[in-house]
Amino acid sequence: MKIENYKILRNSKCIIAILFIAVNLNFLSCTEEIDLQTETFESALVVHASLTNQNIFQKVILSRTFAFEDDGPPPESNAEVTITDDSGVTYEFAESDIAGTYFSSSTFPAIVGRQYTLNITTANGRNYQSAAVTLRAGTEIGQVYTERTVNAQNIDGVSIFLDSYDASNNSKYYRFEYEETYKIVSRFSSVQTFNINSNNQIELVFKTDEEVVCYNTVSSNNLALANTSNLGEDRLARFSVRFLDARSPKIGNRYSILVRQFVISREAYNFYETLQNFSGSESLFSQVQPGFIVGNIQSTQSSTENVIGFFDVATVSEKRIFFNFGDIFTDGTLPQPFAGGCEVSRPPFLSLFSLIENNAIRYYFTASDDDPPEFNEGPYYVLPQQCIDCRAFGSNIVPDFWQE
Amino acid sequence: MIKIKTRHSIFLILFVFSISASFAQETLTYTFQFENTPLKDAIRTFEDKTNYRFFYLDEWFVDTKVDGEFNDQTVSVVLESIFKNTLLNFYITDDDKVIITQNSIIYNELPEGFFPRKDSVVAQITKPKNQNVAPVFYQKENPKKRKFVQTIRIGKETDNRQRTYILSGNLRNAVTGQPLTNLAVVLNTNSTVGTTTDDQGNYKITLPSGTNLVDFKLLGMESVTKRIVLYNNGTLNFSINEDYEQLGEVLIAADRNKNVEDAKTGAETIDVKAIKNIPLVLGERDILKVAALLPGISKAGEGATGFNVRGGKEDQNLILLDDAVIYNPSHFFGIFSAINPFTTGSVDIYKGSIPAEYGGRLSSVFDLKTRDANTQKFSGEGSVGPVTGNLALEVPLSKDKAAIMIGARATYSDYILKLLDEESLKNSNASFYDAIVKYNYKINDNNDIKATAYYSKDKYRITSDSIFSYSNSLFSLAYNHRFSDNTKSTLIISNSQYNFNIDFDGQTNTDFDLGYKINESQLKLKFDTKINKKNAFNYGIQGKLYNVEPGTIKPKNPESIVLNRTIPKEKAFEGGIFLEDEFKVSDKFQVNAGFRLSFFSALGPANQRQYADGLPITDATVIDSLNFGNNENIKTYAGPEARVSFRYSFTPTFSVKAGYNNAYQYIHTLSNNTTVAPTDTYKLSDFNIEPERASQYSLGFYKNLENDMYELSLEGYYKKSKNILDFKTGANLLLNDNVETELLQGEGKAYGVEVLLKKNKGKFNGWLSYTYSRALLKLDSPFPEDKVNNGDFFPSNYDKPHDFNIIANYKLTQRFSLSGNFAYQTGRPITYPTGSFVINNSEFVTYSDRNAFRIPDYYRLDLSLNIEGNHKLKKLAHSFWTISVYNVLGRNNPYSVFFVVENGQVKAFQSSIFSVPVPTITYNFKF
Repeated sequence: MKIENYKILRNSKCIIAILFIAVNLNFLSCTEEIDLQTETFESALVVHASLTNQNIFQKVILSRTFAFEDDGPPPESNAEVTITDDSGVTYEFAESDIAGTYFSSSTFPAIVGRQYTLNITTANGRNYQSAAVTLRAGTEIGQVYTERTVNAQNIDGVSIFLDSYDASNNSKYYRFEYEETYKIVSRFSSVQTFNINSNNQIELVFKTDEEVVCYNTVSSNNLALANTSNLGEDRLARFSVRFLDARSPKIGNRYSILVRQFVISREAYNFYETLQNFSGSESLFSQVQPGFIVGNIQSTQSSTENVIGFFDVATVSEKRIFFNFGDIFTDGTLPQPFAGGCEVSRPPFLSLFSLIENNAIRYYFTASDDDPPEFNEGPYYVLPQQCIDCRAFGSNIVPDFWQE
Repeated sequence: MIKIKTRHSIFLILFVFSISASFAQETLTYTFQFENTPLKDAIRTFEDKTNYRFFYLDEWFVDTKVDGEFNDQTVSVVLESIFKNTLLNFYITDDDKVIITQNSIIYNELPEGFFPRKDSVVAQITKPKNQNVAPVFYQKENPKKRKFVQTIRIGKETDNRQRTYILSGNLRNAVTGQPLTNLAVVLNTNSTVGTTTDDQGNYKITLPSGTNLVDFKLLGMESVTKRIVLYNNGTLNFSINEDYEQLGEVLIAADRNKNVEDAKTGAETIDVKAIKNIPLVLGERDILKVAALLPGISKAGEGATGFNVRGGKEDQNLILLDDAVIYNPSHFFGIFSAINPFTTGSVDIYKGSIPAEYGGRLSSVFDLKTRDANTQKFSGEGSVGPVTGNLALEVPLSKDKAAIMIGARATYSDYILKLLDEESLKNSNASFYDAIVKYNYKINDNNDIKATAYYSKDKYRITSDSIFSYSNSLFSLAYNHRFSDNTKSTLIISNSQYNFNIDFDGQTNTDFDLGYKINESQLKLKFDTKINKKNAFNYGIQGKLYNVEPGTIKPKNPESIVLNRTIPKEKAFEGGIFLEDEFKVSDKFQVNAGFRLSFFSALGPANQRQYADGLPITDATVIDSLNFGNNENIKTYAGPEARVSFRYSFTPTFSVKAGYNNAYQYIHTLSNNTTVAPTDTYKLSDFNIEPERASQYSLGFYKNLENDMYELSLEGYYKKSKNILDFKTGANLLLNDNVETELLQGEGKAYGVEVLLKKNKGKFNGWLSYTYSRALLKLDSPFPEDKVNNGDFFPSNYDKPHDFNIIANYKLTQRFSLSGNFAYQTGRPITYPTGSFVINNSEFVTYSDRNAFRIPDYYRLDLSLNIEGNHKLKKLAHSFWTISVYNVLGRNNPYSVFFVVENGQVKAFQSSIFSVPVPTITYNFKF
């Protein structure tokens, strides 16, 4: 539940509404996007570490802050990462193929009541340590379900809701992540495809790769938090995990979502909530005073060095659901395809080479004899690649959890 | 018989005759007998019995009776005798016409220099010829001047002319009949000639003979100008009406040299009437907005509630409406003020030397007073603007004794909103209203009662699921008693309340109602005693009881699972004993020495946590939980406050003042926004939160130029404060049981120089102000989590070093006036993002040290044109139109810069409140 539910009054353009000044005071205001330039930049270590009660290879991600002009976070490689518990056990971590992502060398679950401390020594010899954190027992996800809804912006779509309940009233602070997987079916298909053989000739061959049905998996990129400390009972009801526009091609066929619930500490919750407040909700009239958000990780060498992040131990539970477009939208609403601009064309034979090499087109069918080519037309009807090959949007490997 | 009807024609005829007439030989004699005969009848008898024809005005003869027996006397002798005790003179022409004149004598020859090239006659009179003092000629003034000035002729002209005559008289209040004391009687053309009335309302002034324009001025009374044609010594008694509208205007003139003479530094008075001429935002006259144009007073931005006075936080201002605190005197995020301009009488702002009778706030006192309702006649004033309609009515209840004034203002935006079927407007709206009732009852000359009730309410919705509302209500009752001419007392009882509410109606089962409320009741008794000519004491006692409901949340409907929760109430007593002496050591040197003992006690019932000494205040460092019973003293804070100021006048128009001031503050706003919002809560000092303290030193130079036409002042100040309340980054302040764990208390430092040049009189008037000031904060602690910016001083959110304002009015004609104001300010400091980082696949930003950057500078020009309705006397209502354009330059002044993460990407936005020129038309009327 959010008490301060300020939102942005954002008009893409400043509206001049002299005639209707009296009508709506908000009209006079103007909010516009501006280019952000880094004024002064300080590189700081960023730690994303969430130890869970699942018996898995636990993960710690280290990166650094980056300037707005840069593309993404530089990974913090070659660091020594360990987690120690209050019984004296040390779990070693090693950097994986993904730079900056470290996994424990063996699987282990966090245990309720035990204290854990994160230690990091970066390649340049700086040493960082987290506060000791204790795993609290937490409840499991109750249920995850879908419902056709209209959101606050009046958009028709489907909401994914979650219910959770802790009879012991212990969980209280929640964080959610999700992974969505959707099925992609090509709009057009053809059993044959172009191939440029060793003699540098274009030939038609029968397809060996799956190009009609694909899947894509995307992780959540927002912070979803919930807290029941102000409620009469430790119950989350109809907590909206995700809303999808009816026109989203992601739900055009079959869709699955894995919702992961983290029962976290109050401190971790406050950290994430502040993070969210500083970058999410804003009122035109009252701006939350931002600043550096102190987490629970500090340099052991300098008290003034800023480290961003919160080492958090959480009880995790997850639930997956599947649905088809037709399950939700039963009133004849049509699903939207991924691929647009699927116009059939007959490019001249000579330009086919480069189009094939650039993976821009796919063979559709060959012109029949009573359909002679006009000027600058070739023998084959083709379509843009994404109209036939679903791999433009995902992978043709069926995920192992997938259920039809 | 010819009757001369108008003044205009008598004037003409007088000249014709005076030029052509010459003395006739008188030979005939007559016999008359009069006994208490009306003069008019006597003249008629004359006309019957003789050939003489008389020319006169009937009104000259009213109530005049004549006595006497005349046997065989010439006409001249008879007339001289019967006119002896009147103001009348006569002149007999060759053709037996008798021209009677009042006051003046008809001359058969013109004085030397009667037809001057350019000099006016008035100038002639003040520069008389050596031997023969020029006779008095009344010359009609330039007919273009339409302002009606009553002409009064004093004394009977004699041949024995003097250069000057003495005018004396008695002046009384037309409403009460009380003598008017200290009323200024000043020669309009030369203000060095003047006097004031004594305790009985008597005055005596020596004036040049002939025509004089004399001003009679007193604070609170109508300013009266009379054209006095002085023929001899004489008396002039009349009554003056109380001034209901022009208070501000009179104030400037009546308190001539106030700027220079008052010992207090940093005192400002807002001319309520003149606000009419300042350009408006959305057609609203705004008293408090004008305050922000004075040096040393600023707002954090266009949409910011509250004021920053000399580097103080918004919560450090004591805003009083008829002695009761008004917590949030603004509507719609500070864009409109909640003070009704029609009912407001005076606004005094103390930002330097705060009088000892006020306490409890560190930075300033805004003393707003509602004017008294008119006990004479029913009257009203109203305006129709694009956003609101405003109407104030004054109803006499008992003539000369009691009257009531009702003022109300409301938006009609919601009404128009409903007429328009516009989808995009559905989810946001705002409405507000305020109402005031003032009752004044004069029991007798020594006792009167004044009561005020006020209520304001705001309601707005920015998102579809929550409605915010807030309201102020206050009541005050003042009983004034005069023990003697030297001792007066006032007893004040007041109650003020502020509350806000958030009504959340979302899609899930968490709908709630959240409320906050603060209530204070005050009892104040003060006395004014003039000990002698040098010492005037102001002393008294004051007590306040606070009751705060820091937050309640309850489910809005049965489906909602929100827990009914209430943060325990807070209660406290705040008291003060004060004594101030205005000590006039000499004409040149004056001392205002004030002392206030400030006292505060936080009262139970309460449960207060005790934290370990020397450790940060967090949940982990609690060592004890203390329970206090009802009205049990939790913690007491007390301290002496000095309010001292000095004034030394080098000349009557140049003085130097210095002041020292310290204060305690026990009530604090909790806000984690960069600017003040209506949902900020007030927290009382308690076991863990110490009172804020501040002391200020000020020094100023004041000079009035060209007969008070210009006022120039230069003031500097240095202010230090302690225990200023701030909060940890990301603090959650609402509905927090242990809010002290989120708070920090730090040091403040502010200094500045203020320059003000005012032109008070003339067709072109206004002011120009410039302030250079800094307002810094320091939040230091041995613990890193309690430090902000490494424990160094940093600029506060309202630190705007350069602040420049011009306000100018130009009166084009009697009906048209133009005005404009220009404001420039350094951009407000902000905390700027310095980089991004990724956590949980989502991009976030890191921020600079607090307030390390500034938004672009602010500047704005507003213009307005006032058109007065015609000036027919018998019109039902007097009206004027105001056409104004706010932000003529269309400057897109950024109010805030903020950052939003959308789809994992950081986006920066800048918002401004009025980014385009906003034209408005307002219609005002008065009856």
